[in-house]
Amino acid sequence: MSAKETLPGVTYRDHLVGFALAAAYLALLLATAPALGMARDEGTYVIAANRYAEWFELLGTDRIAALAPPAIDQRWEFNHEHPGLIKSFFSLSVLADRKLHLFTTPSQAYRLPGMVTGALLLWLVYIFGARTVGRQAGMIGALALALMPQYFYHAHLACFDVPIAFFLTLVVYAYFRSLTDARWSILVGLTYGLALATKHNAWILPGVLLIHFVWMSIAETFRRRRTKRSTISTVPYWLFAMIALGPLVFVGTWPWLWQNTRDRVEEYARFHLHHDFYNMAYFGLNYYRPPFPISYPFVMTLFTVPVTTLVLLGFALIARLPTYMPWPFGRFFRPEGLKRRDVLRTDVLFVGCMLAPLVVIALPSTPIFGGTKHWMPAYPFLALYAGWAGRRVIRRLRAIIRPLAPRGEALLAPGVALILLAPSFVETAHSHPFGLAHYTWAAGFTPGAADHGMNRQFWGYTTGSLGPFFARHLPHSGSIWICDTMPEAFEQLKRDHVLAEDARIAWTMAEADFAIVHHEHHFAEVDGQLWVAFGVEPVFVLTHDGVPIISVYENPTRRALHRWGPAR
Amino acid sequence: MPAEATESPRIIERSRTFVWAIPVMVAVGELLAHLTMRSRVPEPSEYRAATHFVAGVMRSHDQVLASPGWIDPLVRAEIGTRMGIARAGSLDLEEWNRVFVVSIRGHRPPALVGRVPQDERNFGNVTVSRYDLGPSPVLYDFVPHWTDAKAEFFQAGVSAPCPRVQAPGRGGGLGQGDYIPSDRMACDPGRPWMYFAPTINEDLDLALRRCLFQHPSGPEPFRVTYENVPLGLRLVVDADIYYENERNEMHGFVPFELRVRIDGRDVGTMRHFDGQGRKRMVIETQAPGSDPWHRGTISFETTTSDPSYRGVCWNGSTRLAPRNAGDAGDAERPR
Repeated sequence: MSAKETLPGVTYRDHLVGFALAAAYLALLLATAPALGMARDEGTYVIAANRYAEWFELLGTDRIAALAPPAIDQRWEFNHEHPGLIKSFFSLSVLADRKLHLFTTPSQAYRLPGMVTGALLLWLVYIFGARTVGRQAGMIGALALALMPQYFYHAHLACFDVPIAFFLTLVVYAYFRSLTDARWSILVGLTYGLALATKHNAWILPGVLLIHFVWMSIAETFRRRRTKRSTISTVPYWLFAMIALGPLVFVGTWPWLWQNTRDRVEEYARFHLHHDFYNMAYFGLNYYRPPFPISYPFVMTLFTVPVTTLVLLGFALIARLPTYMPWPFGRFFRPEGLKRRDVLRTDVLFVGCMLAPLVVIALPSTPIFGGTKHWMPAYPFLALYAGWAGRRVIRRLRAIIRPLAPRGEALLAPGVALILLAPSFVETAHSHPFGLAHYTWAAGFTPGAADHGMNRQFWGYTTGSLGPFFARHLPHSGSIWICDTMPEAFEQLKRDHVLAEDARIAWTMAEADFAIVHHEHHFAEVDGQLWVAFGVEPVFVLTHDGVPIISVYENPTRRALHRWGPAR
Repeated sequence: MPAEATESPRIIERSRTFVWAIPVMVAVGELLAHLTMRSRVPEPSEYRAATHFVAGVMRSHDQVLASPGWIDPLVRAEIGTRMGIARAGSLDLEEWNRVFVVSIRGHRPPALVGRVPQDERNFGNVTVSRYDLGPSPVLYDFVPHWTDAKAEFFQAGVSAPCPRVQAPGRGGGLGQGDYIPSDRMACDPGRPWMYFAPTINEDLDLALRRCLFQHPSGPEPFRVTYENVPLGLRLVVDADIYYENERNEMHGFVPFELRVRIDGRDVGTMRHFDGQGRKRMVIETQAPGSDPWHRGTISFETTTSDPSYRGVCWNGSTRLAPRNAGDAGDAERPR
């Protein structure tokens, strides 16, 4: 049996299904985005995208001037700690919006590319699933991914975390295809370049693929000795393509690197290898420097991914244990009994791609401030396993249902899938727009996570949820002391009409009409400062499932002034 | 990833089939758990009813605690003004006669675990419990009496007064430390951090504590003197500096000293090093059996070899003998 024979065919109909899934998800993201105020880091990328847009406009009108080093540095120097590809997409989307007026709010233009990658990843997961574990499993897997609350949240953003999850999965898919068709190696190189140009998470992927390739090649070598037949190539063409094309695409898509390339690449690498440490609460402790807890990514995955999805993952990992255990251990674990060997060792690849991002974050020296987003590239593979187990649940239950209700068999698959995905759907719908604050059953949901002393938010992303409050209470030209909100994010809230156009940032508490506190452990000091400045009674507390997210304090002095002035 | 089951004996096969039904049961359980959680989230009206009940029966020496600590903002949003900063910033149950606990989901403040409340009422999903601790042993709390104190600092051995001023409050923001209140005794216009007034300090454990800010000026003392204070039997002082300055070792472990004198006599010195967090000093003010209402002059001096980032914030009181062993535990703080 050749390796190709093990793969179910994927037809254009599958791509139509994948496209429909992606289109529906994109529509959902666009429809729900206005409820989500801009987050801190998005504000930085908006500034960068605006500068890039200037450069692209200059490129369109005066190519020679645009390609001059000072013109490049002027526009691309800002935020050079992250590559330019995705921010270029943000800027092109903004330019398109300026000409075509595509979006209802300006922030949607910046966010569209991220949403598109979030939607495309579902398509990719479905196709990857259809090719490796079956269409039904691919569909359940894609939906399980779509309905992870934190994935849903991050898929809205003008950030890099979902785009890198998409591009890394795309590289893995191209690599997987290249194992049986060397022509795909070119795509491995190109997509890896795009991944490098998206975020530094891409750095570890070649190592993961290499481990899989060596594992598979050793097994293949032994197999060839036994069978005297060759089914797959053990020459790593994909690696050659990665080495040859990856850096070219990386540098080619980032004009900032077009001069002093070596120095600037080193500067970029240094930034991430010696990254600042920020605060992150975990089980009541505020971590701000190494060593960070090894359990962090695993517990946070447990606490934020719907439990049913994780149970399906657990079933799949147990049932498929022999397929990714090194010989001879796999011989002792055969609960499901495999009919045939997978010469591509797909499970080794999937388990590796799922575990590697978590293991990297688990290293005690790796900062943990980004929460789940930093290991989001693991989730497509986690979802594929959940999909595989979901399909297995359907098949097993069919054996029970068939004799009891033969006519009900047709409804079984959609019915069981619906039940398995219902908790994810309900929780994701309920989590919006508090995706980062939302925890699942394993944590006791959001209140349980608060009991455990887990992080409630970062990036000040919840400020937009105060829009209705400030619409009622902020006086004309009133000012807000904005705590963790980035000024550019605040301005974007005004442009999106979440806040009034004349709302102002107060740079000191004393001059503010209102001041806000984002409830995170290390922001307790701001609460204390406001007790002294304004008193201990917040005028409004924004909550998610009863857990305080933001407290709003009103300046008593200003309140007395406004009592006699114009009301909004 | 091809994987299909081979033929197995029927019983094993059937049991495997039922095992694979577990995810469906988990899904149903997860849905039910989600609905249960949402049904237990208190409505604002329930908080309002509970806290307004507390506000109606609360006396001057009653503390109000929220449990779990993270609902504290919701309690303060209802009766924060009535509670005031003294209650919000108190970490010590010994200061109070009674404690009202506003709680949800069966939580109890750690300091009260094991005690039985004297009264308990439910307001929907919110519970109010009253714990009668008995008369507080605190005789004189230095924080609310700060305006009675005289503040001075020394330069080349010469005393300079710190007059009381009303000026705009200053500070605010992450990493900025204690807020400088508008009402304060300001010592030196060139050194705005040299003032004496109550503020809120975030201690090393991130707890918020109301305390008196008395930043040492250097090796020479910054002195605060209270006269005509009932001495009680004990003087209890808690002190710390702003947590980031301590946590980040921004000052190379240079300690500060907090020296206490009663009627000019040295009775105790706290030497505080970075990393020690909120530190307590208990001083015997008089011999056992003395008249606790006997009055005296108590002064507090802060000094350090280098004043950078040494924003000492202390709170203290004179007290009678402890009410009960183990009564001085910290109340749960908001998160």
